[in-house]
Amino acid sequence: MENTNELPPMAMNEYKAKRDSGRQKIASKYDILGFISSGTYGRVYKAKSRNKDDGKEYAIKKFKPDKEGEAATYIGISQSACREIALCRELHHENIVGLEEVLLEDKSIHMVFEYAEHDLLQIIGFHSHPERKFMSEYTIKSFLWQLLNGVAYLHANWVMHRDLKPANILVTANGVVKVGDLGLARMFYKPLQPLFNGDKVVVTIWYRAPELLLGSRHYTKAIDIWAIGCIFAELITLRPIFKGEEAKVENKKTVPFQKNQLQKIFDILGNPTKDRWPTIDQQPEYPNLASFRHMPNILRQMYQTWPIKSEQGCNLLAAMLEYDPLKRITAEEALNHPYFQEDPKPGMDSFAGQPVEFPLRRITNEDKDMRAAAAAAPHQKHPVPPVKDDRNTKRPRVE
Amino acid sequence: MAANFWTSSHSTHWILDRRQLAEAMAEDLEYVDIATLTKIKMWYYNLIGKIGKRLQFRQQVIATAIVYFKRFYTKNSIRSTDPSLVAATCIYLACKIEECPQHIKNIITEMKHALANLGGFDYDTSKVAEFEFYLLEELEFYLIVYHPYRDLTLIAKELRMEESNLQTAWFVLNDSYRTDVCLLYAPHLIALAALYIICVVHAERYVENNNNAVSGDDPSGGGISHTHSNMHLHSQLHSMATKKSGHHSNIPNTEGHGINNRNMVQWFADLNVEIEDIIEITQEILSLYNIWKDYSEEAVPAMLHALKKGSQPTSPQSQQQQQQSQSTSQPA
Repeated sequence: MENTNELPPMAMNEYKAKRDSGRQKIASKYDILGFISSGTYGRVYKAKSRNKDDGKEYAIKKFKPDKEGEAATYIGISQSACREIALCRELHHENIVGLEEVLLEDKSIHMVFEYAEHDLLQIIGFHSHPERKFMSEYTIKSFLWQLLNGVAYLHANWVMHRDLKPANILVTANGVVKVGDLGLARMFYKPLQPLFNGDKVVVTIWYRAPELLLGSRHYTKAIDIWAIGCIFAELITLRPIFKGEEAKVENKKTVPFQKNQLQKIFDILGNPTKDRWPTIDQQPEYPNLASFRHMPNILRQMYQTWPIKSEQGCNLLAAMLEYDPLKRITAEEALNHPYFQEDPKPGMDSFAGQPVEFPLRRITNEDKDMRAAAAAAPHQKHPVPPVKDDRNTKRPRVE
Repeated sequence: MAANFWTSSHSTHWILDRRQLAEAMAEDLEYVDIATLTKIKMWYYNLIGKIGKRLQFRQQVIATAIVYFKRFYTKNSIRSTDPSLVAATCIYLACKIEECPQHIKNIITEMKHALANLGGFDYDTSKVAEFEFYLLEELEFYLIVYHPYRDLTLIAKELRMEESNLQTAWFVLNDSYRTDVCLLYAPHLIALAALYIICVVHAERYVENNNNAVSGDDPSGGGISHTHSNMHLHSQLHSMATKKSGHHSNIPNTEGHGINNRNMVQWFADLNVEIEDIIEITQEILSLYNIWKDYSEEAVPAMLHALKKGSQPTSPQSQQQQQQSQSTSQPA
């Protein structure tokens, strides 16, 4: 007997069967060429479209299912995958990595991105080993300008990246910068909750802005500019400018005070003062600053010893590494900085006229996952071990 | 995107036309009439709202969940799916996208609670999580939704609108989510329509005040739909709804009496938007109030039974036939 006071039973089996049968197999659309890297989120594969009219290469990011506890119950798409899908689906810009499509298979989300042959971490590594050979000013300036161009677009759209670091700045074989990994990015237009409540820790420690290190609750897009300043310096010297050691996160409730990282910053920029940063005393960790030794600002002297001689370059760097987030240059302003008017002017092919031949991104076939599809792929001549994307930059996340 | 609605996926992919909506409803309408179907959907929007209230969500989160639910049902019929599971999953996904993540268990607990006397909610964590995939696919992975609240706030500022009027317009926007206007029109047009409704209410009240010296009704007292304390305004809207057309010519020059002493007719005329769109949205919302008049929550389960009739488990053959007829009657 049916009880019309209750809702009738509504089955989903037919619906699911219909949708499942309509789904195209990834292997029918793409050939998996090999495995690129893995991280906490999952794995990335290099692939090629099977459509003869396309024939382009892609990077397929396969997310691990978000599981919880020992029982490993599947609890849905992770917050970070959600953000990345939602934002990448809306953003279209030459300097932001393009999302081709999203596919479901094997209970996992697969994001199909345009392929980029290089990233700044790999390029910096290539220039550092076996011996240090500096990058040309043209290449550095082109990287920097395109990076700022992509981030200016994000900021104009109220999106903060929150995890800019060399490994996340991709570069195509044609020398075009593509800002990638928007897994930590989020919209900052009138957030429903203070940003701090969402993710307690953002940005890899070496690129983390002073306001974050001082515990600021309401940080702004200026944190991305600080990270770009750090990347600019690293492109010039091939070494991280503030290479601090991270204090470990002991429990998920409290965020440790990053004394060592701040010390590295003060060693070069001098101690922040109320004069340079009028609201510094409102930062939660302000009382801790009393314990630091006094250091002068030696950024300009250091810059003199670097291979780039432009004074405007130094001015731009100093403007991006401004302590006070309110005084820090914006991406839009930086694009119009006199440094970019000087020769050599930046270009959309950062490698143009450069004698350097960069090695291609290493891919392997050793990964067991997506094996069926990868089996069809041609073998690499020299298989090398998979590269972890958190090579030297472990990023703690408290979500 | 965020800075520009016109380049957003909401604008480029998820503003539909009435023909598409009609196609989406075709299968369900073979079993129940449009008023019944509207009430069934309303019941689920209310369910989403209730769960949102219990979990203390902001209105925007509820609104996003409802939009997901609506978008899902532009591609599926109610009778071939379980709207309770769809609703729960929409809420779960909306929380993540609106940056106020909730544990999936909380949402399931609230669903079980809300449906306790209605046959229950027979899905566990893994079932809801699994369905999230299907939902994402139906949404074509376009997850950022624009809402008219922000536009309304901007307009209110520009017009230096009284707080009480803003409140009322806000509640009209809440009500608008029970119609399909968010699938048909850009959010700023919906915000303008809410403002338009407020103007008409004011105009009628102004006339009424002069004729009958009716007073004492304070629109700041609560929402149109959410309290019973504001019956006067409610009935005013209902009477507008009954009059149906012609009322839009009623906005008088409200100088000295209307919203902030502005000539609202001129203000609307000066806008660079299709005034017909605003009128249509207004009609849509007013006809909702009309349906609402004889809406009773208790009657909905029986309506769902009527909708489900004919889909009782039968022989595999006829099931197959059904599936075939479904796939032909449904838009791709």
